Amino acid sequence: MAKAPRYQNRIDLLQGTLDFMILQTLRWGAQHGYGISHAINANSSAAFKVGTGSMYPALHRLEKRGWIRAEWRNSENNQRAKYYVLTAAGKKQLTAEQSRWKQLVDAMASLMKRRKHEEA
Amino acid sequence: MLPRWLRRSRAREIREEIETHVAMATRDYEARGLTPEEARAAANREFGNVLLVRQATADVWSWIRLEQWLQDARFGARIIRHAPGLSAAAILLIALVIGGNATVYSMVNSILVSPAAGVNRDDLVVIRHVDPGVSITDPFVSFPNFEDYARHSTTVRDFVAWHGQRMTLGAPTGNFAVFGSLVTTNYFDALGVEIGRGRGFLARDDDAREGVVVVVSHRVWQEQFNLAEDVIGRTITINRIAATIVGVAPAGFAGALLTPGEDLWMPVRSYFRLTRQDELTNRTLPLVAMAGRLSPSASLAEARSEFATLSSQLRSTYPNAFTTYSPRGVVPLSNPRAVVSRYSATALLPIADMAPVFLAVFSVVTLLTLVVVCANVANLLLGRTVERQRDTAVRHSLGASRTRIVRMLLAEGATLAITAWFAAYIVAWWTSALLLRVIEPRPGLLAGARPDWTLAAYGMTLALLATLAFSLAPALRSWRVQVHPLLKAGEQSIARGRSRLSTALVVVQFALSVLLVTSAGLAYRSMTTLSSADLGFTPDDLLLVTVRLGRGNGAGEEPVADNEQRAALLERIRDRLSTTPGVEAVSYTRRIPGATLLASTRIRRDDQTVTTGFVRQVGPGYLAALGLKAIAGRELTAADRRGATRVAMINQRLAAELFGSEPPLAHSVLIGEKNERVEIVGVIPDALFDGPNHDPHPRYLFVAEQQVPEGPPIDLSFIVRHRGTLDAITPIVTRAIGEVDAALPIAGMSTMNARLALVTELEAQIVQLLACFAALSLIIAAFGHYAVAMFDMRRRTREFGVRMALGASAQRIQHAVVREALVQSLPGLVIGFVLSAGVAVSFKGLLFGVTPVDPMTYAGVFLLLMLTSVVASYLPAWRASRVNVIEALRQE
Repeated sequence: MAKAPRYQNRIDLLQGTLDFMILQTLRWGAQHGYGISHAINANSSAAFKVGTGSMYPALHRLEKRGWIRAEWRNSENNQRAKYYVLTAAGKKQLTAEQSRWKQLVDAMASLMKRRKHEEA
Repeated sequence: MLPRWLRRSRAREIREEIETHVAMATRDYEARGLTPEEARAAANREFGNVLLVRQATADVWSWIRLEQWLQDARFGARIIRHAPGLSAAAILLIALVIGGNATVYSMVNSILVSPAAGVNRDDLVVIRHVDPGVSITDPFVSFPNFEDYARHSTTVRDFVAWHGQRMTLGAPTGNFAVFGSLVTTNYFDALGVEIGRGRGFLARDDDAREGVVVVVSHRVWQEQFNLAEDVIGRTITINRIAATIVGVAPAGFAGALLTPGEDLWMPVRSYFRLTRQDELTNRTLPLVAMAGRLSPSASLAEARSEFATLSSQLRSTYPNAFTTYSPRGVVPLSNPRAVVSRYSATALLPIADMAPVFLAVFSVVTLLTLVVVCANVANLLLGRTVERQRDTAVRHSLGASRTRIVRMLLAEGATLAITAWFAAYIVAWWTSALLLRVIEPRPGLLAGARPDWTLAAYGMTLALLATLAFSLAPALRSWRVQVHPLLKAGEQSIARGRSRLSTALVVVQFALSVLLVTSAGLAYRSMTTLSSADLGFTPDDLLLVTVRLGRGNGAGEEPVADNEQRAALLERIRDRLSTTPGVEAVSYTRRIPGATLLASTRIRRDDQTVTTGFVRQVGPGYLAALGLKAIAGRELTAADRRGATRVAMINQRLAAELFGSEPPLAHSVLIGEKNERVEIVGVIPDALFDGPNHDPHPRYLFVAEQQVPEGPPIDLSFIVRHRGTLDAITPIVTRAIGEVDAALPIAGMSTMNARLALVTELEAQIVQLLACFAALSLIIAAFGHYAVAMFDMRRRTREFGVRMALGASAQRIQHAVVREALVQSLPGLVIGFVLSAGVAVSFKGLLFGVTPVDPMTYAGVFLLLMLTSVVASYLPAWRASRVNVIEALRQE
């Protein structure tokens, strides 16, 4: 009981990554929460399992920051759902995030290459 | 904080959004072939904890910190409901300390910064000179110096000067001795005093061609003129100079300084032109106090540097320009420095130099007291923390963060502190009213000394500091809490061992209380012995009438000019009074009981036999007036006049000291620095002529006033032993004196008993103050003791459970606990007694009829403190003994 890991911490850990994944997903157009979680799970080849407990706070945080905008509309099944859309600020943020991630990936790649070199 | 409706709608939206999510997932599962129930369950499972997600999402929007703070505040406020006793104790302690200290602080501060009543300028500065070689300098400069400063200063304008002195006011109702000031004509304008009736002074009042003018105080207008409408234009005499009243000062205005309280103001130039012209041009005579208005373009620092320059210029031109009064007369200042400071009613008084030191010491003492009190409250809260360890651990494990728990504890502390702050405010009001009653200052002195907003802010700062101090200790303890063992073990594993710090604090508090209570006790015993001391004469039916003769050295004003004349006047009055019906005996003396300073004089028989004693100058028949008789020889008579052999009578104690068993009559002794030779003509009983004295066996030598070379002093008192009531004799005596010299002012009337009461009054006030402090300290110590005991009991709940399960009775537990408390208070008592004895020995001179180690006092204090200790520890003991055995054991 005492060992129960704290909920908040998991979000902290994933926060930057999750925000990026959400913005990336919304690139293709408006989507609701269920759709976003499915898209992330599918696109990352299920490498990430995004829990709703992380995703919804993240969505609302992005909305609060003005990177995405929410509107209620009917889904393909004619069900009222809350759809999220990228705003202009969100697009700008996404570009910035993409280049940041690219840098990170490149840096990690070169690091790993050297590691391999050393091991050889 | 978000409006409630907005929060509601936000929460609803989140709920709907989540419901949509689950609905969509359910539909997908159904599409995959699950039954609706299975699909619903799977969707829910996949989603996770709906409530948690909802809360976490809503938290994004809520001003979470603020909301949590409010929650904390609500939580904190619960402490008062849940632990009323503890809260009350903590609040009372803090309120007493902060409130009491704040009162004293504000009083002293208000004395320091308040202007005199009626002065309405905020740009006033005063200028005085200090000299490192002289401890207290008079704030006076010579009139030429003042004029030079006024002429050359660019930073200070509207210079005013005033010369305060005793004056004799001749009004239709009689002659009165009052204080007054000779002022420059811009005095009222520069100080911003609005003259209530008539006018202030004009520049032309200086030349006195139209006669001398005077402004009188509201009090004089009221008492001497009965608020007559046509008072302006009337003539009064001041020091026998006729002066026309041109104005009445506003009610309350009594000069620019707090003391001595002036009633008359006259233009300084016109007055001195008529009396002692040369004093205005005498550069070495310290004559006037000086003030001015800081010009709008100058700062205080600029004024300071300017006056430093001006004063050094003055000194280079006139090397002896700066002087001060000293016991040896007017002496030059060797290293004078001009000091410019903001004006207040006390800025030129010695208190201006002493009070900041007092305030600094007082602040340190306040802080120390506060630390002790905070430690006590911390102990109380610590006890509560222990009780709640389990509660805290549960919260912790349920996900409350450590910071959150610490915040909750801080919130509790803040609740106590804020409540205590309000309580302190009430205490401050109450103590200031009480202090004003106890101290009975000069009217108007502390009129403004009421708690105000600055004081409230000061109190708040202290209270907040206190909060931090006493909440953090338990808070930090809980920070270190390991959750696991607590959940398993309950209350015993925390706070292992008694806190050495808190035990030490209890000892210190006890020692201090012992010191204070012992001091108060000794002072009380001393005072009661003092006031019941045998005077050696009967003080009843003695009327004391003080007349003002003026000074013989030319510095003051003289109703009666010449030494010989004044001495003769005294005898004439004595003769007249002795034949007045109702008067049994009459004499006169320079000193009546109640003077604060008793200076003794060296008395020498020869080179080997030297002692000190009180030398008193009295008129013929002094002993008879007191109802005493000489034991050997005779008492002083009218025959002991100037030109005859100088004679003296000494009391038995002095006779024994100087002559042993030898008969002292016809021997001579030398008195004072001047070695004045007097022949002893009488030995008189050992009475306490100056009233109860800290020396129970004072030595006295009486010389004849008529034989004192420099003549009678300013004030001299007649002692009249009378028959009949005081009311009957007073007008008779006044009339008789008036018949001898109609112009002689009567400076005061009193009875011997009233004057004797004055002697012990100061002691009584000290005792009252000490008693207040002692009581406060005792309360603090008791709480400290209680807090530690309570904490201890909490910790030992299980131990008591075990003991009782093994057959110990509740009574036995109580006895054990109280016994432990008593043992614990012993070190404090011992230290306290040692301290008290040390302090009392060093203040032995202030004690009367009580030894510094008075057994009665010490026994009393011992019992009182033991009683305190028992009471403080009994309540926790009683609680501990009522522990439910099963409860206590189940905690294992």
